Amino acid sequence: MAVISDIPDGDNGGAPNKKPQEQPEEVTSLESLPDVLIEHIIARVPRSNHPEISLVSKLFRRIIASPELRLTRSKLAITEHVLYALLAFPPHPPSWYILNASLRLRRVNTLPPMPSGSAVVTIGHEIYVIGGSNGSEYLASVTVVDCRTHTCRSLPSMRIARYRAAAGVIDGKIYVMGGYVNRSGRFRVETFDLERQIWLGSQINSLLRDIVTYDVMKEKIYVLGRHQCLGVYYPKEGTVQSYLGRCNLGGLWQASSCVVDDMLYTIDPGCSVWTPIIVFDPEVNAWKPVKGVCGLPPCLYWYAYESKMANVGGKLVILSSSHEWKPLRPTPPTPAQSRDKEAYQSRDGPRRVPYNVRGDSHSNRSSQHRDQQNHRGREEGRRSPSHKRSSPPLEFSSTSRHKSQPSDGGIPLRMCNDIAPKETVENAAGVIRDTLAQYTACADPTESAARRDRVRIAEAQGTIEKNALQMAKIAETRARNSERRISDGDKGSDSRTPLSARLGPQCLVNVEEENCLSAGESVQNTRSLDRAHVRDRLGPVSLELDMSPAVPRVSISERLGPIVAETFQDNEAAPLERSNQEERVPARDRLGEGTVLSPEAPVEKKKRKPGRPAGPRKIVASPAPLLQSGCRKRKLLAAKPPTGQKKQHAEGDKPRKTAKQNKQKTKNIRKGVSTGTPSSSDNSPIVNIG
Amino acid sequence: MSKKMIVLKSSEGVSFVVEEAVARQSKIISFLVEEFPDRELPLTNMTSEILRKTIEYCKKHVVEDDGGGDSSSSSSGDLKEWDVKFVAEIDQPRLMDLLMAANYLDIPSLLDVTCQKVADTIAACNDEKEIRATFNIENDFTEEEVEAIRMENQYPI
Repeated sequence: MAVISDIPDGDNGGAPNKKPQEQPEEVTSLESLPDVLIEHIIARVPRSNHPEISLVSKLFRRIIASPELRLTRSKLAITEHVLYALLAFPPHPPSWYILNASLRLRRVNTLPPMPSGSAVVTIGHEIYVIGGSNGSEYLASVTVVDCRTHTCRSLPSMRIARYRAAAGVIDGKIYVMGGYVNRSGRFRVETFDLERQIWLGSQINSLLRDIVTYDVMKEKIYVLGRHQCLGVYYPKEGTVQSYLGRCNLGGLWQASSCVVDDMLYTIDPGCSVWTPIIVFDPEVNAWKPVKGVCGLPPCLYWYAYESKMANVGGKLVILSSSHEWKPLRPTPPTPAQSRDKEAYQSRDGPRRVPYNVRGDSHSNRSSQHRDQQNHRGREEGRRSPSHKRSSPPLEFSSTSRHKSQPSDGGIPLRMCNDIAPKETVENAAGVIRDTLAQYTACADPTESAARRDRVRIAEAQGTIEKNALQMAKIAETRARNSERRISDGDKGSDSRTPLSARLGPQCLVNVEEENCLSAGESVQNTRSLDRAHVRDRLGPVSLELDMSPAVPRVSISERLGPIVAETFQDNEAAPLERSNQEERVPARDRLGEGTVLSPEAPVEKKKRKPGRPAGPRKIVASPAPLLQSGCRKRKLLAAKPPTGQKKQHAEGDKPRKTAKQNKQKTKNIRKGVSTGTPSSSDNSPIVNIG
Repeated sequence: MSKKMIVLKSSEGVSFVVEEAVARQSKIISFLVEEFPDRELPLTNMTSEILRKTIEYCKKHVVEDDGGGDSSSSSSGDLKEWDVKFVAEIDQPRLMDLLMAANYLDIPSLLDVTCQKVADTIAACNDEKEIRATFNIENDFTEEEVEAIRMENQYPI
């Protein structure tokens, strides 16, 4: 400034300034610029390059470390798209990595390890890590990572601890749904209001439990479950729609997917719609090929189901395993390699990022605004191509495939059950499926629809899987027990075990259904005691399992009891009030054929009431007509008492009595017969005669 | 052509006659014009080449307030493209000078463009050595210091 103020005085008066400042050197050093300018320049360099810049010189390192740089960046409103990847190298917990410009993943050392299996959403420069597991229990905690400062803070916890939930951000709210929840947890959609910073519950039942991936398109949250189950959540309407393997979207959607411009891209190595990269347009509800993508490296086809897609500033990035991966130490590709791969980038096509990631590692996807990122489950959604094609309306997953995965970031899965072999579980699932098929096959269309709905809820909540597992476990235990018993020569109690084995889990399905449908029924009835008794008798079986079955069974007895009672009342009221029918339906379903018979039972009772009590009548009934008959018959009768004695002896076999006692008794009986009954007066002479 | 013209003089004494509106994009010139009207403004720390480039940029970016159908009234998309092309044509030393000029004359948009270009050049470098070579920076770190920084940035496990 001082120089300029001098200028008007002398035309070329600035001569002394001229030479030292601007006379050309060979190359002007960047360091000759004022620090402020260097800061402005560095602020414009993507953050991913900052580590290299800090190595250039002390001045650069100082600028990189200075807080002013951050200020400058935010003042300049510099936004950039950075891919954050949540990767786990078991047994270490997942950590955040950044993909830098030279296509290397670099760990963010300042960020702590994250829980495994968390749902992740991004808002602006913040990453929300929701729930997950710390290895021993599910978490309700929510951590926010600030990508500008690489610091963490905690949000208020969710109401429900969730593991591998689905989440999406729509209109300033984070919606969390599905996933594994604790037994006590209720299965509802939760919403975090960013403005008020509070969690809000809802009455909307969550979608699937086993979530493969999720995305937000056109203000709707799409959730892909295992076996091509699909759930769509409409936040505005607050409704959930589920599809069980019958929709276009679920048919080809893979865990490796991402949304760019409200269209869902995924990889399809089978090229069902001609290209390996395909896009789903929700407007037309169909998959379309992404043309112009060619020359993808072969390993992308081989490891298609283990790859991860990401949207980085409108570009599609695919993180893929490369076939030359090394087990524990990830070796980043050489820059030259990366450059080559970058050549795969097409106009709207993918840029492939090779990185030697372990197959079972966490991976992630990308950013939509600044420094933004998203995270993905893992390859749990990996499906074999053959499996992908089949889409039965109701497929009951055997969790065993899931279990066969090595581990979840080194942390054993909670639902894991190692003792039930796969075939047994599948068999059990088959049994349940058959039963449910019968259950849903109902003549009444509305009834049938209601039943199917219930089945679907049970499916969504994973009850069926759980039951299949339990059945398998029980079957296993039974098999083991029966072997033992056979060897002990005791087969007697064997027959009871299968009953419990079958009844238990199936009842559980119903109980869960009932839970959804009519909670809060508390009718007391003696039948519940009967049930409890059954349970007690079956008790030993559950004990042998020393697992969960004992617990659910108690609840069955408690919960089923009232339902049965209700039915009973209903049946009595049935002829009078037809209006209650709808409420009655669920209860009747549960009883099955039993209900068909029960209406007659009360009627019989009513008929009997005016007549004589049943007990005495039967005893007397048979001699009565004989009494009125002829003498010959009396003679015959006279012959009877001895047989009657014998009978009594046969019946009262247990207390063995001496001959004397027998004689006495016989006499007593004779006396009793002759004197005790009203008709004995007729009989007595005969007896005496005989 | 009633537009007021301003004369700018480079360090070599070469005079450039520009419209006031063009020159006023520089906050410094704008200030000087008001303080010293009808005077030739010598820019002693700027070579003719750099000054010409700066004026070229300013001409392109001038906002026409008298509604003339000039070539400068381009759409912002075109302008951006033009900017990219503009800085792409400049070699490394000139770019640094232009950056300095933009800073000196206080032309924010030009400063942005040039800074971004430098930043892109840095980002395009593979490692710190390349950055040093490109920008003629001396390595003032000792081996130990380099190792220490590397450790900070290193891969885990």
